[in-house]
Amino acid sequence: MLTLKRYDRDKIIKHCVKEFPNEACGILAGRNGKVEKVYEMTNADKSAATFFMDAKEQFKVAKEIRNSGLEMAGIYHSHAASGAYPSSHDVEMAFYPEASYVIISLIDKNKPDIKSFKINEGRITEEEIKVV
Amino acid sequence: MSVNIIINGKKENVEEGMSVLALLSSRSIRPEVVTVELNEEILGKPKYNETILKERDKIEFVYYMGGGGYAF
Repeated sequence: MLTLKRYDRDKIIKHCVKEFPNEACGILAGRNGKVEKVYEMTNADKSAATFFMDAKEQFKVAKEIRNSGLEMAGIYHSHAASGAYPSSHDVEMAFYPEASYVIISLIDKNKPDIKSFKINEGRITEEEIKVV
Repeated sequence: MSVNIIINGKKENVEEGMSVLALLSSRSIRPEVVTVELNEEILGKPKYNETILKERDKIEFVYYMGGGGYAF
């Protein structure tokens, strides 16, 4: 289960809508599956079909997370024109089995669909998102 | 002999003469899916094998974070 504050969930969705039609991406920092901070990241691909995080930003955020005593709880990104489920490309690029992979579908921009998954060696398991 | 380095913020000892590539290999990390930073500078992949870790080096690595919907 991934626990998200309502404010953080809204921040993620707002970021995804702002970047539409390109995909948005970000990192979730927290502890024991509870998100404490959301980092909006740059999609270096600037694409409506793919995302790839900027490496320099990744290092900066990884150090910030570590220095604040948190862990990387998850990674989020939007799907501009497909459902909130990991694509084959998402699965290929899932290198953090402990992390939650949060996907926001903007098929209906007025009603974004947000779901979370664990991806471990190609196996996809949906997990509950608890909004507090 | 070993050298003291910092890996992702943690003090560790590695064998003297160990390359960045050997370090990744020793941790079962595929070099093609990580970015490596050595002493605050991103290290190009062609240099992984030729770069030998030295005392007090600070090395960081992050896995690629990417993917996408592909729905076109």
